[in-house]
Amino acid sequence: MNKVLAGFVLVALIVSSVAILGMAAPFKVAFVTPSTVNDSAWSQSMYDALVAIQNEMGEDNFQFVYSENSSLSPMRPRRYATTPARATTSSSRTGHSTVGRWSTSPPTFRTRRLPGVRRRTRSRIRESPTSSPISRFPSRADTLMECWRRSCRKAA
Amino acid sequence: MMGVIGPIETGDAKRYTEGFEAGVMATNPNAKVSVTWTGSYSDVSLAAETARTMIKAGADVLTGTSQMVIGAIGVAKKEGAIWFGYDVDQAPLAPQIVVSSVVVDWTVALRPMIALIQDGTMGETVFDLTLENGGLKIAVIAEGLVGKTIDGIINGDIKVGE
Repeated sequence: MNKVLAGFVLVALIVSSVAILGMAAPFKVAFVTPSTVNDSAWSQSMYDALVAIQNEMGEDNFQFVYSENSSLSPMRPRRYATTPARATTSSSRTGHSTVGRWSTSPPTFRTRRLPGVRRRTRSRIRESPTSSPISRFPSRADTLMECWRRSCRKAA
Repeated sequence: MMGVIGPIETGDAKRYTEGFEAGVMATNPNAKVSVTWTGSYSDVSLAAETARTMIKAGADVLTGTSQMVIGAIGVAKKEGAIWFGYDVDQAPLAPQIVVSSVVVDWTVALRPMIALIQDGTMGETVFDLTLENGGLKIAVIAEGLVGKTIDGIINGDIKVGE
């Protein structure tokens, strides 16, 4: 189901971005996955493909963002779908802070914070301390952060 | 006995599992293939426990699909079971036990998909990933089991066809 959902969001965002922005605008994709983009499995294969496409088309013509470990947050795809033109991201889960935004945006768009949403930056992946296979498992800190996001401090 | 650890019986996971089973049976009709669907794409610990159970039941070869399989690979590595990878080349995780991996190249589907959307065509097209069109590849590393076997055949350490 997660895979189907991820594929649906992928296609929906592709369609919406093209329909809204027209041919001259960059092609935009949101990638929502239940694991990490370096999981040595399906998510990594799709991430690698998106990076390859971006290298072929250029960052001016193809842009994508991704959200990892999204199985704990079923509402996240809807947030993507309601903010197709611009996204401000912030994350400290891996010890890194990344802020990205789409290069174009409607003038009336209202900036929103999307927890866990990251813009694709190759350097962050390669330099991240979580790139080793061992660290791909969710840590206690990850769990607590997710709980905090979902306002379940008592459960933690 | 061979074990397949899948997430949910649908999509590419189902097709891979059926293909793996068909390949085993084509090679050895007497072989037994045990398939377990965990019901989760991302539950790493569940995949690990499934692998552990399969090995205890006698499986000496394992494979699986989806994001969870890293847990199963860890167990296979610890227990010395052979692993066949899927999605990406999984040999770097455990070169001692990963025989080969089916590598999925999604660009083969994404390129025409993007082109069609840019031309205004939405949906109604199915994109197949095959060995023929390059959407599927078989990865074998020289340091892995197959690589060493090939080297062994070439340098004469392994005798074949006598």
